[in-house]
Amino acid sequence: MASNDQWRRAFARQAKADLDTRTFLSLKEAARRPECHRLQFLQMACEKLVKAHLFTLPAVPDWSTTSHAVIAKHLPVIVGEYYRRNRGRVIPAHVLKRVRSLAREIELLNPAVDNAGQQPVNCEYPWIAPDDRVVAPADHSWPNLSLAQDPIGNLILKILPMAIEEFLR
Amino acid sequence: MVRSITKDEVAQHLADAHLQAEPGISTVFRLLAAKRREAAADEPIKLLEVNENTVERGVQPIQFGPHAASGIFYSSIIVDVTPREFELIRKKKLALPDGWRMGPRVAGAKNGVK
Repeated sequence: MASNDQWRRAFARQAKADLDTRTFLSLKEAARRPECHRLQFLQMACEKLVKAHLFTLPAVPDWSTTSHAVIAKHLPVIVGEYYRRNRGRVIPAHVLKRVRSLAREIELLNPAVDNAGQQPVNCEYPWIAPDDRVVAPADHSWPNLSLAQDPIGNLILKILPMAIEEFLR
Repeated sequence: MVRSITKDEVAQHLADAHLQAEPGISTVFRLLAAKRREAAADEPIKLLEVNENTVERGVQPIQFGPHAASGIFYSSIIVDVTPREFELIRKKKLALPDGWRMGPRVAGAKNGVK
């Protein structure tokens, strides 16, 4: 039977591959690709990082390998813990608040997480807009997720690879 | 005729947005590649931010694609460092990657301290 350590490292390995792909899609010619692809790989990297984290818990939840709705709850914990150890103080309240908000936005990018049908916008599949248009993710402008413009988005992207490295050990 | 938005204008927009959004950021500088490379259309905007509320990890560039909905029409790279790390960069004890050099201050206080 596979050990929790094996699962932890495998999820961290996949998180790293997903995050590297997001980076690749941000530069040079690849940066012309639609934003949905960068966001999709970010969402996948966050989900796998969280799952690596779940496999370090004393009691690993049954749904650890299958649930997609894990980022909003656990990513702020990982970011806050990493921040505390790195800076020797707790993460400022306004930063943590924004991390929580962004983590929820990132979680909602997965088509399987739709806030009980209230949030159909996702990175993979078309949805029906309020004006009855069918919108493809590749054509959506993602006004609420301008990570380049948000210093906290930058902080999350800075901590992600460091946290992934820890879970790879 | 529609005037295209320059890289400099987008860099200023990004720097102002960051400074306004995060009280821990005191100063934002441009980072510049070698002259010919910096002028290339696909060369990202590069900003160095002095941020009291970030984690310490040396110079770690974070890459972003364009985001037209928020007026960011070019790829960008953000390097945020703590005031302590910024001092190390100034004293050349912490190196910038890829031959980058410090460019002009585009937002915030002159000496990197609010």
